[in-house]
Amino acid sequence: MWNIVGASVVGTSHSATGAPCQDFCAHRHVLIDGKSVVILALADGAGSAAHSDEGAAAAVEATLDALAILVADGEELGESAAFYVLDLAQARVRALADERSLSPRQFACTLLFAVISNDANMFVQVGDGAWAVKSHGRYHPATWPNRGEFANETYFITSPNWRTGFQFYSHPLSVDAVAGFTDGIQAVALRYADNAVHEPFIDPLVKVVAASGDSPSLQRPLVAFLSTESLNERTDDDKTLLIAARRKVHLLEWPTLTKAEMP
Amino acid sequence: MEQNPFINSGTDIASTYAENAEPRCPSLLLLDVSGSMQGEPLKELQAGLEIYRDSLLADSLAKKRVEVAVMTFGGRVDLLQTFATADAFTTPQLAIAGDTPMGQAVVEGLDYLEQHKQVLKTNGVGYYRPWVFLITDGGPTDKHSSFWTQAVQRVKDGAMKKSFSFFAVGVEGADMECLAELSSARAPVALKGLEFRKLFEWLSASQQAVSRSATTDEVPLTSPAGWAQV
Repeated sequence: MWNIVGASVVGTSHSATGAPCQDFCAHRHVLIDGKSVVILALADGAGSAAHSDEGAAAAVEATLDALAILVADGEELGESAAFYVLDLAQARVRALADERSLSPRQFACTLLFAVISNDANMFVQVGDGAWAVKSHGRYHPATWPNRGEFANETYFITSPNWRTGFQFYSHPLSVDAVAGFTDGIQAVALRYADNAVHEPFIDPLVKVVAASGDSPSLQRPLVAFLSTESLNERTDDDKTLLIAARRKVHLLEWPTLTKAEMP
Repeated sequence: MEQNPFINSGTDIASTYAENAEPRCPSLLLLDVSGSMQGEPLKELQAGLEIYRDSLLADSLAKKRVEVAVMTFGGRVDLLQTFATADAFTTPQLAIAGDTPMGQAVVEGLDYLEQHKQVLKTNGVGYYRPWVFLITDGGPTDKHSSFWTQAVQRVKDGAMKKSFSFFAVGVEGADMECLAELSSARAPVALKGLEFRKLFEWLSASQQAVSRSATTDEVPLTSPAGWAQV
């Protein structure tokens, strides 16, 4: 049983100029033959593209649709499955651009998605942001922010060179929790010096999600957290954080009977 | 106040952020200090440099991200200031000397820039596309040397590969034809009078915008109309 919560919050530089939030995230929790499978996706629309907020939303929705079908059909999770999903996400964005007679570049976005079931998982990314995986109590960066040569350049699923920015990872052990985030969060969530996940940031948040008995109610607190001053001081970009954690099982506490009470 | 489990979770937002190196925006100034810059032009150029440093310093992000190097050409080519962010940057005193080895300055400047990019890469520091800003009131006295042909070729390659942004600014009396040959991708700009101060204010403002840009942004430049003849 998984708890999942995610939110995208507009950055202060965007709210100053009236630009919309160009990040988007969504998830599905599906049951296949009685086993739960978690499907997660997030995207960051390019600041320089006029309709990238719509591009990000379309790419995420198409990704979830494609992954749900893939999982329902029992397809193996692997690189070819990842390319199939990306192909559909790109096609959806292109179709959106065609409908409006605009260039797909106007809908440019990064894309991150993940599938986690009991016996398999995959983490896929084109562009920056990252996936952090918690397995057996330890954190691993499943992917890493993918940049071009310059700090303000990345790869978008709509770019001709998107394959250069493609990352695929499958964790060999069972996964307890995952966190996916866009570039607005990466400088506080990752440690660049040794390419590690900054556990003191991620883990307390993951624990909140794991301990919750009612994860949908965490949505609003997550939005409030992502809007706090202490985060805004460190980034003025849009911020997305999507966390999925196995729910901690609270064993019911039965009253213990003293010997005298026993029948 | 409402209890927010995420805010109260004890999450550490500060420490890794503080350790993660700021991405850098290298800015290489190639300045003509040949004989003809004597007097008012040099004085104004020097004043412009001070304004540049002060306005970068006044911006909390730019002072950590924009790093400036100064190379002069006049009689010879001198690297007066190696790449340094504004808080570590002391405005060099410009001194007049000799002829105008512009081609050599461009070649040596771009060599130095490449070397600096390697240092950043080795240390895992991200960087924005570097700016190379050339200011002259003359023409290359090394026009018939291999320096000049090499300079023209390398600026052209750099523009094509987008490995840096090259700007050529001509002060009154500059050989604009030579500058156009050198800066073929972006037309050179003629400075209005001796508006060095406005030029450096613009440069600082543009670089502040770039250094603030997120990793997925491309920053359009504002009009240089305040200092350029358009």
